[in-house]
Amino acid sequence: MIEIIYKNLKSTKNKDVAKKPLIYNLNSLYNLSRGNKDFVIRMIQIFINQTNETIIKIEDALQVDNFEEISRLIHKIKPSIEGVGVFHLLNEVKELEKISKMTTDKVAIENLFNTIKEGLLIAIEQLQKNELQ
Amino acid sequence: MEAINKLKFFIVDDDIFCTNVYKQYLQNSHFDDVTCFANGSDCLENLNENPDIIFLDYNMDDINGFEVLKKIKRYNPDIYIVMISAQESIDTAVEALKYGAFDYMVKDATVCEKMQKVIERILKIKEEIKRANPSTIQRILSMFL
Repeated sequence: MIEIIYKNLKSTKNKDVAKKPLIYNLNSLYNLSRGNKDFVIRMIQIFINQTNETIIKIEDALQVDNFEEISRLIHKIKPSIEGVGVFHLLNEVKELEKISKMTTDKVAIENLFNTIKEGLLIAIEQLQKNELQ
Repeated sequence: MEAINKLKFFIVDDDIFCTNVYKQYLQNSHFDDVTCFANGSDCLENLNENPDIIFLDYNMDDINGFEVLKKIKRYNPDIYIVMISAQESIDTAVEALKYGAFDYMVKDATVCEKMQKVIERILKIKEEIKRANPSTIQRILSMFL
């Protein structure tokens, strides 16, 4: 029974993910790979690991108002966000890097981070569902 | 092509995503001798391998890219160092060139194409130097020709 409910829940979740338009674009990674699928998978896994770790670190930095650290952390994951083609977040990422370096406006920083985090988590969910399963 | 393929590359960047992208691009261009380092210290410890070209990230956690650049140049001024930064900054570019970097590139979607162009320029310079300073054997041979 539990297994049936779990499978049902899982398939509903997968359908939800599939319904959303893709927010990543792996064209440049596929071009670079020259048909080496293992390379693409490795790069996706690096992106997912880096992003998950960075989200936790930024949340920790936010708790202690370490805005410089937030700027540094978001700066570090910018190339991988661009690499997996989550282009629609790039302006927000650049803005967060800038405002967390130049201001101490915690509300603005937190709001911007939450928007970016939401987008990144959707990208991760879609990548896991569409590319790694 | 044989001489081109003999080039030895170091890639120094604490972002594993970037190092993998650069390495793949170089290998696609038939440069097979590529070693990646996640920090400046490891790069400095392996300079005895005599790399021809080093792609060096400016913003690393352990030692600042400029410090690594200066130490490499002190060890061997003939190594071509290309500084890479995720931020476009005139000041950083000027400083990099002042400390002996061959070029400065911004990490963006066209970074690989820029790498290719820089390598082509370095190869041209190496060729010019070789022509201007022929080896001892070439000099001896030229005496008999």
